[in-house]
Amino acid sequence: MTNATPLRRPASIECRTVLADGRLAVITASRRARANRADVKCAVPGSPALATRMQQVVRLARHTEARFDSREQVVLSLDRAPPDHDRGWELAAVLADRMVRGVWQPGPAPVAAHGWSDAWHQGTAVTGSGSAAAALARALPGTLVICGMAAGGAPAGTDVLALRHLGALTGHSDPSAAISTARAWFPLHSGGVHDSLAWVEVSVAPLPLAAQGWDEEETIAVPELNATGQLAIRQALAAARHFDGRALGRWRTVVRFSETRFQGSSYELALVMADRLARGREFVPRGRLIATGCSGAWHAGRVDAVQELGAKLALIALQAAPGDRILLPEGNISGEIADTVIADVNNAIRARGATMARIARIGMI
Amino acid sequence: MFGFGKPRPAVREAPLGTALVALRVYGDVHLPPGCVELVFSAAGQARRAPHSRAGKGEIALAYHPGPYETVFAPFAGAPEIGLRLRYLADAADPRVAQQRFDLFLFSEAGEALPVDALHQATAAAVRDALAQGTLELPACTTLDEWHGFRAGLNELLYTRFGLTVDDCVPVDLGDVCDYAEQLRARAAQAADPAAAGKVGAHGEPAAAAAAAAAAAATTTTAPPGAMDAVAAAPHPVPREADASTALASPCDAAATDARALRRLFLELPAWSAGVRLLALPSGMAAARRDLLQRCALAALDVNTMPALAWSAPNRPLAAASQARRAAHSAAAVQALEQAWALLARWRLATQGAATAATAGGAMQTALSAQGGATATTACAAVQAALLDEADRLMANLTFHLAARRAVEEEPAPTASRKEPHL
Repeated sequence: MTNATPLRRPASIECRTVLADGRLAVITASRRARANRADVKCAVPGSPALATRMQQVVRLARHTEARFDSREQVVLSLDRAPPDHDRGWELAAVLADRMVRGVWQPGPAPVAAHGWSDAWHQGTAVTGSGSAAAALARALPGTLVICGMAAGGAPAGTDVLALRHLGALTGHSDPSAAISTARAWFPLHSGGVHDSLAWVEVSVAPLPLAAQGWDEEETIAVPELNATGQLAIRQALAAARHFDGRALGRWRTVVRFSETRFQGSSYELALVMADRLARGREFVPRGRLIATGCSGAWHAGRVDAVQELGAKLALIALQAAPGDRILLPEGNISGEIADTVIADVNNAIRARGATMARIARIGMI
Repeated sequence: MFGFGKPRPAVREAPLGTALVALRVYGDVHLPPGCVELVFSAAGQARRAPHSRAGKGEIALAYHPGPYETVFAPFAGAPEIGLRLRYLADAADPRVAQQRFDLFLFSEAGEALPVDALHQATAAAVRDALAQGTLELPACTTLDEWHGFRAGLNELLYTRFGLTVDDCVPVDLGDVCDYAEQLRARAAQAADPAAAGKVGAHGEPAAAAAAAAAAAATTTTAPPGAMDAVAAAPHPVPREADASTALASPCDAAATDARALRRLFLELPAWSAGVRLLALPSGMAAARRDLLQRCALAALDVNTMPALAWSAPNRPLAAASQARRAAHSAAAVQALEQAWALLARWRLATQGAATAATAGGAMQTALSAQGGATATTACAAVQAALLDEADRLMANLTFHLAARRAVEEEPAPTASRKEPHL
């Protein structure tokens, strides 16, 4: 039994954004005891109307959270006034409000965001412009850039997390979209310094009637990978769906990666789990799903060992946030090392509010 | 929630155990075999007695203990995997002064408690506990985690409803629910111009801002957990429509408010009695006393709550303000429900503290010297987290009760306002 209370909550945080005229702006959020004051207080220099609008946006976006806490007041400030009809700061305000309360804990990297929505109370229809996101990524290297989904789809070629609704921050599928999209994260080990968590995203749409009877592998597309990688993903997914029993011949699938330059097959467990989440056949974690594991026999649901599990575990223990679910293959570390290493990491992860399990098969128990 | 305003059902052939769980009994009734009859005194004290023994001002009620079986999807995002749950109202526990199930019936059943309403209430409680992190049912659940979930579920349903879980298994809902069909329906709805016109296009900032402002007007006062209900529904409904239909008429607002205040009045003392009975570790007495004090103040706040329809003597309140007040009392009830879930978890944590300490020591065979210390610190951390959670829920309860009590002054009409001359 873990607790939802976040452990690391800085007293104030910053979230950067880009205005319509190209200037960079900073939204600073701090929190203090509520003491009968308003739940959100906003300040924009020279524009009280905009401050009211910001308060409205943040309050609406809070309706998508399960946990209500009336004990704190959040104060948000934008350091320069945006031009008229500029709404790109909205997503940054919402994310700053979540970060300062510990509802969303993105890790050590600074955060920049750009996007707006007409349905903040549902957290859906988040929109952004690809050029603004690219400008942010260029201007602020080393920053986690989050932007609303552009009209033409996700911006390609930049290190940007594009989201259509707020649940996508933790990889959940959009409750109102006609295409179900889920993400799972996996650790990329590259020698220590550049270790990072990468994500794989699986989007499933109902198979059109014209395509009934196709081979399962023909319905799976991986637009960013070469033929070899595409074949491996098609085979893994088709085999895992065969194990599922009620998945073949129903879906048209697109798989995307945050990072395509990797070797090995330890992403496969994350891929298979993202697929199960997207098809609505797996219990949904409150946070992200982080998994590493491969298999020689997905059609039997088996999970095999991966290499360099120690380094990957260390990375996961650093990056885990409250509510995250971490899945590791069972038969990896043997003997007494397993007990000490796994027990230590497990304690660290539990202290962060996440849960970890070592599994030999996918699915229940 | 359970049909206060319905006409009295026909009592000749009471469908207890099939369509109804409980029914208020008037006069001569034929009850199916196995039913239990209860008589509540005016103060809410229950005794097992036939309805013919009910005195003046007493309420006679009969219920069928079950078992009842339901299947539901615990996560809105995963409609094809579900839980099959079978529960029953077990025999009375002789150790407690008031059975929890009796309190549940007295507080929430009203005239009759349909089986579907009970199923919906239990499913909502489980979904809310999962969303809050009170229960954990993660992806690829291992056997240990499943046992932990079952223990938490048993305690939750017993503490919240007084029901005993007979059986709970995960089931594949693929037969009854096709996610692909649901997605097709969503696509068709999005393609429908009537439905699409509702969504503000990004090109019109004025229209979008107006829509958002209207949404803010209806949603800022809505209960915070109403979003969960929307998220939990298999087909998401537009939130504004939901809020406006739920609280449109003042009659609805009055009924909602009356139910909510009655529940708070009856259940807050029972909750604090449960907290008083917890076997907390030493050093938490002051914190518990503080918590109980705040709970008593909240109960006092409920007992002295002003009437819904009046802002002051001889000055009626506008319908919108009444709806806002009713929404706040409903939100206070939601905080109370979460407090019941928290009490369930707290009971488990205090019961399992000693066993967990020994088990934790046994598990870490190599580090048995450290094991006890680690388990103790972990236990202290769990208790601190639970106390913080209780603090949060009590603060939310107080906040919503204060908002229910508050009278907002209507702004003066702008036409009559005079600008100062310089």
